[in-house]
Amino acid sequence: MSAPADDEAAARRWTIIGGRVALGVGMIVLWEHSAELFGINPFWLSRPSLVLETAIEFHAQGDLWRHINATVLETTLGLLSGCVIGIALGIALGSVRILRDVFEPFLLVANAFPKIAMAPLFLIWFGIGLALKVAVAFSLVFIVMALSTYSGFRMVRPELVNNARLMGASGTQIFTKIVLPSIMPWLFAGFQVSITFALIGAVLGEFIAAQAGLGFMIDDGMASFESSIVFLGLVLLLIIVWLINMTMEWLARRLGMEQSSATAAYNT
Amino acid sequence: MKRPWIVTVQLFIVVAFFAGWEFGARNGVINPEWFSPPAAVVARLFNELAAGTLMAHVSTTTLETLAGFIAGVVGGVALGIVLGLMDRLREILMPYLMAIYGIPRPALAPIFVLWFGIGIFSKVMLIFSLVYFLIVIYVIAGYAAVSPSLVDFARTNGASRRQILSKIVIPSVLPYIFAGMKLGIGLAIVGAVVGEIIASREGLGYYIFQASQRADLEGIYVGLAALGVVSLALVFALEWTDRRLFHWRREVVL
Repeated sequence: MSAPADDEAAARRWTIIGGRVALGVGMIVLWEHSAELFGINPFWLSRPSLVLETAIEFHAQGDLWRHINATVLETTLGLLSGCVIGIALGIALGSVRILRDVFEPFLLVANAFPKIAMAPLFLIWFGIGLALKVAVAFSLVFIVMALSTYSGFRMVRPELVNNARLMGASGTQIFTKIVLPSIMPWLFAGFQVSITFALIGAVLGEFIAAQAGLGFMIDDGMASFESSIVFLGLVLLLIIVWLINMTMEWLARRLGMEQSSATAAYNT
Repeated sequence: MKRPWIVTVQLFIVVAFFAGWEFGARNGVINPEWFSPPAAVVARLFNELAAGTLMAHVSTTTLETLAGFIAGVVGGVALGIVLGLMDRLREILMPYLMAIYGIPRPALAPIFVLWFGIGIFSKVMLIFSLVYFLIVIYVIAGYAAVSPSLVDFARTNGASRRQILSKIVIPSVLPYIFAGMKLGIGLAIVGAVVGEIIASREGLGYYIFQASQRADLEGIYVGLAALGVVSLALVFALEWTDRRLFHWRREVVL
């Protein structure tokens, strides 16, 4: 209320914003001049200017978008297939009590297993093409979607369902009016995790075997000791993740799903 | 209460699964280029165990995972405590921490290989970086979940700073640290495996990847089985400890 308190709050806010900007700019400047300031050979860290130069070079050769498109395509296909199968499985487990009781431990074991280690097996199964990356992304996504869908079912309040049934609601009505609204936040939270997981899956799949993609770029940069290429790949990956997060936050606000409590422990 | 027939059904499913796999692989019903018969995998597993080749890889992966994990937890808790106490610093750093947290971090593995070589150290550093930021975020979330009214109540009743810390703050933050650790151990194993796949000369990730390069299907399954045992043991050991210690706690929410 009082003026001094307002001043203090404003000062505090400006310290925080100023600190954030200074830290961000400072880190980029330090990175750019790491060679002169700390004697770190740009061979290890590259420089922002070198990364930008590399980006322009890649773009001139028409490779920049080729890599981005490859990763985005793999991510999308893995995400979609994983969502469809995962949600279907989640609905089956969530709505049929016996299925849930029987299959829950299998799902928990599958969640705890580092599925990324399956990638070399997928290499034998699917070859070195698109299917390999989609399979890796799928294996990460479908468990998350199955678990989050059926966790959502557990949040459905039985008394609501009973009341509706008592008042003569049909099965469809109960599903659309009660079950769906209760599991939506969980589906949404699971989907949010799944996008990043699909991206990780695509990139790691590209580490195993690929001719294009951001993971290929990063791995190739490592193998040829070109840190600028590695960092370019990572920066592009970061930009994609950032765009995804912004979109999802916007979507969450539009759909009225503030950061839901629907978080759980998922493993890659 | 779990009904005993469910366990029976589950056992039946496991047995039927492996029996079907065995039968199918032996009779060409399922693609033998995709699935080796489980009996052959088990036989190979015992051979490799007897020869001592597999255990070396198992211990490398376990060692990397535990070293990176423990370092990450200790470091993460330390920074988390500092940031929990220093409000302004925390708010300045928070968006950066969240940004780092949001990076698909297993994709950073090549950078660690570039910096620290292809040995164990690069995997430990990768795992450390995976676990560290996760734990920091969870410790901060734990601080935020400390009930202010409880603290006020204790203070008005004459509790000392130390009492507030030991009776209220630490019991509220600990479940969060454990929740972070449960996620972290999974990430740690992933980090070890990814690091070993992309550049290494030892470890289960290397073992599996090499088998796949030789098109040695049995070898892949042996590696996956060993990795499954290691990771499930680590994950469920933490899960069990967590349940024993914090059966009273509320749901941990980030």
